[in-house]
Amino acid sequence: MEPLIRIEDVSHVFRGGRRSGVHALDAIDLEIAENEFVVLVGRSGCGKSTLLRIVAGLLRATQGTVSLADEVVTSPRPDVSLMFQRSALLPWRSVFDNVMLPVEILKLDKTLHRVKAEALLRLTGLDEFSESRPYELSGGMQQRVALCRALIHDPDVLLMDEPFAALDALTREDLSLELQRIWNEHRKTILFVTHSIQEALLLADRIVVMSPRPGRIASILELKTPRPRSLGVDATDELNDVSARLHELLFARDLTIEAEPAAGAAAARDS
Amino acid sequence: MSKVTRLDEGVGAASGAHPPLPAAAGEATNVQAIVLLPPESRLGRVTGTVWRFLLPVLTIFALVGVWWLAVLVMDWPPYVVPSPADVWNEFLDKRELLPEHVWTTLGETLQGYLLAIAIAVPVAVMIAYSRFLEATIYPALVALNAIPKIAIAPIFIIWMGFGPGPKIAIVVLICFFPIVIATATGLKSTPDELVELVRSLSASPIQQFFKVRLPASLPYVFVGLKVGITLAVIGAVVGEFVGATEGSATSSSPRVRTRTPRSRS
Repeated sequence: MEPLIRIEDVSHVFRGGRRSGVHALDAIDLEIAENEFVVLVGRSGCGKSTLLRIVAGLLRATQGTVSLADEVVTSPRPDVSLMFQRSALLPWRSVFDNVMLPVEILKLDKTLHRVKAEALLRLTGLDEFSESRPYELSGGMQQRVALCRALIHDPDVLLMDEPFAALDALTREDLSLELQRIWNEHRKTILFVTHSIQEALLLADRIVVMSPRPGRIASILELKTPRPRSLGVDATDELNDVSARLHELLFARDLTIEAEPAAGAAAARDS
Repeated sequence: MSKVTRLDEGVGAASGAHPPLPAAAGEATNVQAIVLLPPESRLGRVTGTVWRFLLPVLTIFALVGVWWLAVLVMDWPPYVVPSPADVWNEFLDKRELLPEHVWTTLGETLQGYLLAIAIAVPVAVMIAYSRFLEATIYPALVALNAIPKIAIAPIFIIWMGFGPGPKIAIVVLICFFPIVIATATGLKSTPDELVELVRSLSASPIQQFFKVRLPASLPYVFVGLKVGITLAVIGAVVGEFVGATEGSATSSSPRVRTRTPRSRS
């Protein structure tokens, strides 16, 4: 099948500003199929978020191209939605009006999307809070609102930059399970950045492990375990194996990758 | 919360109704706070509200009392420090003068203030959006603000005569600056994630401004407006001091008025 997102030979070096000269990404090649859930994991500073921003069209790569449905991405597109670590809700708007923001900006049909917004809020269990202000909600609820907002205009691609990282461990697990459920109902192509191995195991079709300085793809792990998945005692052998492999890759990086970076990256790409 | 506790502590201590319970040293403050909150919480809230209004009033009465006492004890001549009673009698004597002059000053203040907002907000928007204007207009504004307005006031009178014009101009000049600074700062400090969010939705600059940047800057803008309104009153009074035939500052400064240069007309 033709991939929906094609990342070809993308390198990025920051110019100007605080991080000037930092070599954030080096020759990233990645293809993402339609409705695939790809999770990027890696340590801080391995360029995960930078890659996400390049795919979003918020940042131009210094080298290489990203294309989406065979069109080169040069600027943000309405069929791509972004979700951040911080909910980025507008504090002066109600929950409902926050969800409707993309509809207003993209000048879509309001009556139609009002119904959709209600349905999304119901889906995330927020229907009672639609008139609340964001500051009246807990962190987890705020992220749910942000998710509704990201889905309201029915984008093809959802880019999520550590969306649950600012939440406590329990809420975080809750939301990962909920995202799994929502994704089952509304299939999207998702590129999801996280530090959490658990989230990666729970959500991903493929896990892309990145290594830092410069950001490279160290390894790509595929997960076949059917959904809904759960971790802990119910985890399948595959999930346990991949979990072990991820720990190995993320924690032994100093030994394998930095010692012989070229060989390590090449081997990873071959695997 | 701490405010409520403090006020209730005051009530409790005054009436002496709730002696602190003996408690372990570590818990002492906690226990006290709980004990001193009156058991009937509604009554507690009512006394809290009463105190909140009563305390400032009492403070003012106390200050006037100190003033009166000082006049009595020190025996200053009344033309140096009049007693509160003298001031009050004078006020009653001339009370028919007040409304007209207050009205004039208020008019100058509000006109100047509104004009200042009308100029300051667009200037702030330009500063916030253009590096070039920030590098050119901003330093000029800072320099302009460093000039004492009272020194410029006579020039305005030469330019504009003795009508309300120069007073309004001084009001504009004096409250323009804080409004510009606050608004520009507010517009430039939109949280990054909000900017990125609207960018990712390909919002036009106009949409970006009205949907996110302007509303996000409002807390800053209102700080500027708050500072501005107090300065506006000062500006109007300064303008009247320097040259005016009516307004609240005229009756208190006859000599200042006669000393200012007359216009040629």
